[in-house]
Amino acid sequence: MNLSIFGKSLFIPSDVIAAWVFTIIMGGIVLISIFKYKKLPVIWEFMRTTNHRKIGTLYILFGFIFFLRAGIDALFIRSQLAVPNNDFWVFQFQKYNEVFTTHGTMMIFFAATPMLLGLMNIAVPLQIGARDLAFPFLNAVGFWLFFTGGMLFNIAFFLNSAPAIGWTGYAPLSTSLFTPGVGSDFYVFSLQISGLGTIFTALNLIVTIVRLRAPGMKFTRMPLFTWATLITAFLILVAFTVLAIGLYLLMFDRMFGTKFFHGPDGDPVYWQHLFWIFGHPEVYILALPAFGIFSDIISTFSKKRVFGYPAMVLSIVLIGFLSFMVWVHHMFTVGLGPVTNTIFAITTMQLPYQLGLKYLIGYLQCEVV
Amino acid sequence: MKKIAILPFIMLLAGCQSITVLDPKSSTGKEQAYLIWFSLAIMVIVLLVVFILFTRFVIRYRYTEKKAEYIPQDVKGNLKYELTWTIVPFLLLAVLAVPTLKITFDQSPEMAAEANTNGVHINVTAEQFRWTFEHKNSKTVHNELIIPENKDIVFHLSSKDVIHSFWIPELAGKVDVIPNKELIYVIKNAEIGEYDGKCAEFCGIQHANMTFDVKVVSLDEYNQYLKQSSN
Ligand SMILES: [Cu+2]
Ligand SMILES: [Cu+2]
Repeated sequence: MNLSIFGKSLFIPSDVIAAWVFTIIMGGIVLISIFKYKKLPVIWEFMRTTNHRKIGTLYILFGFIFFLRAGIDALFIRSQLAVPNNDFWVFQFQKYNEVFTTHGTMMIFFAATPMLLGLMNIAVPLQIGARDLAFPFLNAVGFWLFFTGGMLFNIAFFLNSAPAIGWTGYAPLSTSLFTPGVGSDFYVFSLQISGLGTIFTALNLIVTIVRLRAPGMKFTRMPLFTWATLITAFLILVAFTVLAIGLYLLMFDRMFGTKFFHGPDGDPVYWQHLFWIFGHPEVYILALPAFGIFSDIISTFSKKRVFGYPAMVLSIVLIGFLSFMVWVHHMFTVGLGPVTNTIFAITTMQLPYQLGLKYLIGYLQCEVV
Repeated sequence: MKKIAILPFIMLLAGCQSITVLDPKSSTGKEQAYLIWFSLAIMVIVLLVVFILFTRFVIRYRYTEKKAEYIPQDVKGNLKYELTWTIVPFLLLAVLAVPTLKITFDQSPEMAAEANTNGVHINVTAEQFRWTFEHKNSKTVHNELIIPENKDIVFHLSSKDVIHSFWIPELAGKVDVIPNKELIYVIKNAEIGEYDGKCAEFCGIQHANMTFDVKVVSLDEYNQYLKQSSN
């Protein structure tokens, strides 16, 4: 849609206009109902809170809101792909590339991860008998960094400059040579900011679990969700740090003329290594807490202790460890050579073996009630 | 019973009539497809065992009024079961590992310096958003690849700008095309026919249209083709 403002004509895609209109109307309705039901103090309370359950709630709430946004993106993708040579609304070419980029990035970084962090925030202190996390203020900082990153990423769309480089942001497409626009900068900075928050929260969880367990809550008695959280926090610590390094280098490539990921001296494959050393453990950052949830729920409702508790803990630790040794399976087509590919095929086959063992142990637990 | 009426509609969800990757037309592709089928078979065994046990447990041990007061016995472990589920998956994996490793080792794309292969050499250059194929007598064609049947075709892949990926689904798996780095990929014994090739790594605005046509012809026809001047 072409708008003319102050004599200048400005092109704005109709989906961006629709999003603005929708946001303004919804924002108005929300604002009115806040005043009508006098909820302002509640919001003010949540904005300043350092309470782990309130922060956990905020994590889950905003994780869910971002999940809806990413879900709508998925619907756009599917509508465009419903039939061959389709022309659905504006979602062709650049718009389509933007929509699958935001869908992937939001689902991983701003929906799945925060929802699990929220659950950890709420449940871990309760499970180990702590009053709060070790550093409540840092916890709030972590959440608000995540919130800022998520908002920044969403604002990119409202300014019609959403990134279009895929959720993996592969160089050299993501360098300033090929995507000079601000879209890719939004990708870099919003991930950097929210990733920092995630690292803070991981540190916080580690210290909490190590230092603040109630008397008698030994490591050997900890619920499996807490164990999974501990290992996940270590994974986050390493994986998100590596991602942060990758994003830093990309930022330098984009803004300060360095050539880490392109040119005769740089190599785009470096980016892939950094990204997947983060990316594969990320899978387990999302999966391990879920396994912990299964274990705790099943053992509670079957009124039995966890079957093979030491083996379960050991396999969580091993899965966490192994998840750092398989990243090249995302790069089998990159030409790292037959030896590298074969070695990583072996380590990769190892991993589901561990997983399978853990699962089977879990199943045997149902044998009750 | 009503629920069964939904079943035909669920079948409709399976939209793909033919998955070309699973019915490849070259011996390289056939090895790859064999791996897919073989691992699928092993996985189906595991899946069936898990699903049957799962259904059985859920039905048999579900909560009922009768069991409200029931406190189950405390079980510490069971050596026999534990050994079974440790050893059997290990065996399955070992069986899967042998062909996987062999084919991975044989087929992985290599850096140009390390490869020594006989066959028909073709230089493939990718750029946003076009493919260029250069045959051995420097005949150069855009977006159309003609190769002879029953030969080892050695592709020298390189990119002028971003990362692309060279993929002919009906012939073999994909290999990335990377700037400043020449990769070698060999496709063996293609069968005569016409196939679609495409870029398989998101590379910018026209990525979806970065396709090329592949024609596998007899050796005579190929030699004939080389003699024609490129247009
Ligand atoms: Cu992975
Ligand atoms: Cu391409």
